[in-house]
Amino acid sequence: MTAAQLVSLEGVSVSFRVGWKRRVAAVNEVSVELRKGEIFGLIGESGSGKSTLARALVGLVPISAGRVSWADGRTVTPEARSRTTATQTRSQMVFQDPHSALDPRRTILQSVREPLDVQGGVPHAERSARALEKLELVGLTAEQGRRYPHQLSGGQKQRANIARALVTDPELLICDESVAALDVALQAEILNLIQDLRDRLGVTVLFISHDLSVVAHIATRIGVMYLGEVVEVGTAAELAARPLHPYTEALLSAQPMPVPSWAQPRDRIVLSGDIPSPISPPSGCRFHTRCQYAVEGCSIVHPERDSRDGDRSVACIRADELVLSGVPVTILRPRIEEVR
Amino acid sequence: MTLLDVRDLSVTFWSGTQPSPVVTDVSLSIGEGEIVGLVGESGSGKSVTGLALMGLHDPRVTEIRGSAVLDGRQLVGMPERGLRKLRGSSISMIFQEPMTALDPVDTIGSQLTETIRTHLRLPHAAARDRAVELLERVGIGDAERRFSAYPFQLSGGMRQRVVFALALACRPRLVIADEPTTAVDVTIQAQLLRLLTDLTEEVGTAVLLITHDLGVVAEVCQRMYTMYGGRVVESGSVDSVLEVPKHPYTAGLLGSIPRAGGEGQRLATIPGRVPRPGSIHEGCIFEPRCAFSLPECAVGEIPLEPMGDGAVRCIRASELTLAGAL
Repeated sequence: MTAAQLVSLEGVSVSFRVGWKRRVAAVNEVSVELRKGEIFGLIGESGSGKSTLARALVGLVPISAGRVSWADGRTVTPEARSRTTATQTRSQMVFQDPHSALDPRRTILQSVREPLDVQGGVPHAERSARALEKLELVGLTAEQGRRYPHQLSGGQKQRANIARALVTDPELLICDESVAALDVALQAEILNLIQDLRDRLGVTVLFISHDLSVVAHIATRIGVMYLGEVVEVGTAAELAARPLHPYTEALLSAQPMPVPSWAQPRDRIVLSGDIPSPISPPSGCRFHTRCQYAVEGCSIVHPERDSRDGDRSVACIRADELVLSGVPVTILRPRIEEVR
Repeated sequence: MTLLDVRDLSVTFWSGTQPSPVVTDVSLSIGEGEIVGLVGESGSGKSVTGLALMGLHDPRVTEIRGSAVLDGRQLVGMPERGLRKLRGSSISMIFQEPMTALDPVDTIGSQLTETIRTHLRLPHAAARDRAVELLERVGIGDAERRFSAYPFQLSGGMRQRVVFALALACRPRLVIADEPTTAVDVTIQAQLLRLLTDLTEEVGTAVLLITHDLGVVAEVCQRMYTMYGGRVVESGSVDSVLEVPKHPYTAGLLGSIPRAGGEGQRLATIPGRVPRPGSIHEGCIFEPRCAFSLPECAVGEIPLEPMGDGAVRCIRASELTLAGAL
C-alpha cells in the first residue's frame, strides 16, 4: 500500500447464501484501490455488484474472501470483520432516494446530527453546531435545518443527505446512485456540489452510477464492473475516448447522446439479452456470452486484469489486438460556457 | 398527414374551489408514423398532457379545455364509452414502470390475449397465436413457454418488452410512451429504443415520447416540444433545437447534461426551482430563473411565435445566441 492510497481491496469476494447450501458471489475477487482525494467512479448494469462492493467497503456486509486495507493500518478480512466505530464513521454513504433516506418525523438538523448522537462523546451543543456547519457547507440554511423533509425539494433533501454523510468528517464518501432520482438540472447542481466538496475537504469519493456520462463527467478514474468483477480501470478521459474492454465500449455506445443526428455516432452496439445470473456465471470470461468479439478461448480462459500503459488495466484476452471505439471527439469536447 | 392535432389544450385540477392550471394552451401535432418528443423536467406538465390525450384524468376533479383531434375524432369531451373503444386499438400508452403497468396476478399471455380479444374480436386460439407471435416479435425468446409466465418471473427489460407488445398488439395509430426507458439500464434502454423504432416503423404507428432525457430524444425523435410550467416553450426539429436552441430553458437543460470529457469542469445549472404545478405567474413563466430576462419579460402573456422550423415562447428569441449541444 502506497501513501497516496486511502483503501485497497485485494481479491475481495462477497457471497450470499441462496436457498439450501448454494451461494452466489455478488462480488468475485475484486482488487482495486482508492487514492486519497480522488473521485472513483464505479459503473455497470444493475446486478453487476457495484452496491455490494461499496457495502463491503463500509462493513455493511461481510466479505467472504480477500482483504480490505485502510491507509491507517486497519484491515478487514473474512475472519476479522471490523465493525468498530472507526470504520463506520470514516466512510459514509449517500443513497439514491433522497426522500426515503431521511426520517420524516425528524427535522433536517436532527437527521444531520444523528451520526454524532450515535457516536457520542461530544456535548449536545457542539454536535448541533457541527451539524449546522455541514448544512451550510452543502448550501442549506439554518432555517431549512428546522424544517421537516416533506417541506424541502428533492435537491435540498439530497443536500441534507450529503450533509449528514459529512458530519462525522469521513475520509471516504460513497455516493450510491446519488443523483439517479433527480431531474437533470438538479442533478447538475448535486454533481457540482460533490466536486466542490472534494476540492474543499479533500474527501475521497466512491461514486457509483449506472449512467456513464455522469461518471465520465465527475470521476477522476473509473472502474467498470460486470457480473461481480471489475473488468477495466482507467482515468475517466482515457477510458471514454479509448475503451480497452468490449463491455466498456458497449456501455459507451449505448449511452444516448443529446446531439444532432449528423453528430450521432454510427453503428451503435446493442448488447443482446440481460446480464446473466450470478448464481451460474458463464465460464471463462463472464462477458463472453454477450461479447461481439468473443473467440473460442474466451469461454475457457478466465482473464486476469493486467496493467497497461497510462494507469490502466483490463481483463480481456483480446485486449491487445482489439481496436475499440470510444465517445467521438466532437462529443467529448468539454462544455465551458455557463448559462449564468 | 397530421394524425393528431392538439390545439390549446388546458388541464386544470380542482381541489375544492381551488383551481390549479397544470397544462395551459398546449398545441402540438404529430404526423402519421412520426416520433415526436415531449421534453421537460418533473412538474412541467408533460405526463398530464399525455394522460389528458388518453382521457385518463378523473373527470370529477379535472377540467380539460381545448381540442385534440386524432384521425378526425375529437378526444376532448368524448364519453368514456367511446374512449374505451379507442384505447388500445387507436391510441395506447406505455408507462415507465413495467411492474405496475402489468397485472401481477395474471400471466403475460393472458394479459395479451385479453387485449387482443377485446379489440379485435378474434377467437381464443387465434388470439393466442397472435400473442405468441407478438412476444416473439418483441424479442422474448422461447415465447411459447414464457406465455404462461407471470410478470415477476421476468427481468425489468423483458417486462417492458411485454408492455411494448401490449401497447402495439392492436396496431394503434398513436402510442403515448411516458418515460418508457427511464427505469432500465442503459444497455437495455438501447435495446428497447431500437425495438420501439423498429416496431413503430413496421406498424406505421406514431409515437409521442414523453421524456426528460434529451439524449433519448436525439436518438429516436424527429421533432420535439419543450415544456416548462405547463406550457410549450419551444418546438422544432430535433436537429435544429439541439444545434441552436432558441429558448433559454432548452439551452439550460442542454448545458446541465454531464458528458464524458468534462473532467473537473462545473456543469451549467439553472438557478431556482421549477414552479409548482398550478402556480400562476405574470409574464414569462421562466423569467424568475432566466439569465437573459429583461423587465419586459415579467409583463403580459408571452406568445408562442413561429421561428425557423418550429416555434418559441420568448420575446428575446431572435436576438439571443444560445449555446447548443456542440
